[in-house]
Amino acid sequence: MNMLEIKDLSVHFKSRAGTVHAVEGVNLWLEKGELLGVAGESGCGKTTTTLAIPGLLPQNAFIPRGQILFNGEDLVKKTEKEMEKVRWKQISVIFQGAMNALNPLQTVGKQMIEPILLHEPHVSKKEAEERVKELLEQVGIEKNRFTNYPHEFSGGMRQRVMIAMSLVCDPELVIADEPVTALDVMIQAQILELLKKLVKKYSLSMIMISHDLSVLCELCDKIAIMYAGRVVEYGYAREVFTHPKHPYTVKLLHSLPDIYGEKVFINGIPGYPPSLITPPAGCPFCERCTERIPECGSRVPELVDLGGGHYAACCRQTEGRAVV
Amino acid sequence: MNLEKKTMGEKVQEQRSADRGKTIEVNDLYVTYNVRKKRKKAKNQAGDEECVHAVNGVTMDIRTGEILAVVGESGCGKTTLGKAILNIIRSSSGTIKYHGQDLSKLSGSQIQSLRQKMQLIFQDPYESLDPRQSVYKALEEPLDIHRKDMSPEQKKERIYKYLEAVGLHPAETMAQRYPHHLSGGQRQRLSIAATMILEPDFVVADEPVSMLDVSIRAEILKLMLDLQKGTDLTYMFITHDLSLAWLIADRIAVFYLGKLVEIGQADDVVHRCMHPYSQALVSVIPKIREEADEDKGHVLRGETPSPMSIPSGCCFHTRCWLYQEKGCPEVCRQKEPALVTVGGDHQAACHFAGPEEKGGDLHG
Repeated sequence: MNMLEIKDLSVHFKSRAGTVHAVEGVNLWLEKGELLGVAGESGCGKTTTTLAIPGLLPQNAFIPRGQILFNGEDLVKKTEKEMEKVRWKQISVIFQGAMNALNPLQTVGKQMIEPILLHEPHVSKKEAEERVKELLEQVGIEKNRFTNYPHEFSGGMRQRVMIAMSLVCDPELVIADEPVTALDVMIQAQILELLKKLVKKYSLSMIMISHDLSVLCELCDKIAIMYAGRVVEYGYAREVFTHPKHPYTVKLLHSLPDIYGEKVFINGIPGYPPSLITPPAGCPFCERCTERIPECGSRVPELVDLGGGHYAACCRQTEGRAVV
Repeated sequence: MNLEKKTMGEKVQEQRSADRGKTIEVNDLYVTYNVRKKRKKAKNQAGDEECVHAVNGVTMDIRTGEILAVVGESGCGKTTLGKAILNIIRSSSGTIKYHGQDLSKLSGSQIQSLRQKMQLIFQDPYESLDPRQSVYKALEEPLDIHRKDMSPEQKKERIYKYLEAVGLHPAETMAQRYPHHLSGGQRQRLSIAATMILEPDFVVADEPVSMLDVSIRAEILKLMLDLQKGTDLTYMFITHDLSLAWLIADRIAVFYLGKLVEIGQADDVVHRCMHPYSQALVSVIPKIREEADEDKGHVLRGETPSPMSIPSGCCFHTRCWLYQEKGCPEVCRQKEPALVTVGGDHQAACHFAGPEEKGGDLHG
């Protein structure tokens, strides 16, 4: 059984300009122990989709339809009180921007034991401290830095603290929102190595969000590409990278320079994503797509299995024609 | 599709054949920032004032018509170097020559008049534009300052010409817009127009695409290359992304802790790199289309030391994998390696500089 199943999820935002259809009919699923990468450009709904899982959407967001089944239970229907039990213990989040996600007025240790004391009342403070210290060592920070304040750590180390913190209540699923963005390449490589190690050690399931495809390609088992609030391609990471099926994925991969490949100038994707306040009637990528057929302008393609667990949402795919 | 078939390698060949001299010559340049100057307690044990050594004895040329990429991690001094060359930051010692003219010997007004020839493209188009200035105003301002000889009609003509040149059309409509009307890509086009409108021949581009989505990046880079075509325009392209540098630059300079550790043709620096730091940087670039190796290569441990206390000898020895492999030789701790030619147009600063031994126990 899938540990997590997102079914036809839509998330809309109320705004002065109108309703923003940030996420529209998203289907995603994750098996236990898998590492799913969610990629896409700014505004594609990747953060909104994943933050809907632990119920951490902003005030003006609402979910008009859809289900988020976590171990068979629908998280959308749960009340705030019930969600509190899910957070940290079952699902935890590594937030974007480690620089600012920690409280500057509290020692790192104090911030880290807080969720344990809150969610596991039977655990004593001493036990909690022990657990936190062990986790700090796991992420490569000395035990005695337990009493340090966030400003005494570098950016990379703060990110390590955030990662350790997400594991304090031994969750089943960890959501990492852009865990290496804004870090230097060498620190990025260190953090990715660390995540790889932890996923193995604690047999975690993880969803990792990134706008940088190259970050995901070496780490993730599966990958979902999002565009304008929809999942356009989903499948095994290696398969998606080597045999992309959706024109958007193809173009996105061509936007990345590859030093192991031929030195051909990268191609961008001319144009801009559609407005999410007045979404187009057809395929959201239709306007920027070079493979467009008349049908694309009128029909929103569904995510269809193309065999081997590789899914794509493209009018030409369902027609039975190869895109690439 | 606008698939540019001509490889960058061919472009390099073209430029080599037309060697057009040097636009910038930097000689033994140092830039230090004093910190907490007024407080006596800030003096360290040696009794010196504490200072940040941002650029440490850099000697290099930027050739006319080339794109030189300056690559390194944050705090390696790449932005400081760019600003020092443009005379926005005062250098502590060393000389910078622009077409053979020593910039430190020029008066303020001479620098001012040179500035229109040397321009900067800023990193973040969301912060570098004045939200209360229309597109037209943003482009008129540099002309008002530097081109007092131009009539309003001439200025208008020039502004429209550059709006079209950077792909902001129709120019008449775009000129009336304000930055908040523009997308990230359009904003960066506007920044580029504001830089280019004075027709500079040397431009420092400080991470011009790092704030943009990947699909927009290519267009902006293409625009920068298009503007260079058929001119003597020289770019110093500052970036943290080695693979991007490899793609667009003729030569790459790798910096670590304010020092130039390797410089050479883009292909040489990426595929035949000689310095262990560059080798580490290359080894962490993800392989997008190939099966990933289990062995990641050289992920350096720890973090870059503080530029306030730079390690003795070779500044990289504290994190160097080659130093460890060689059994911690004394020379690395004692003696600062000089930048030596390691082949053709390729220099590196390492006592043991050499190609990585393939097939050994390094790369598997």
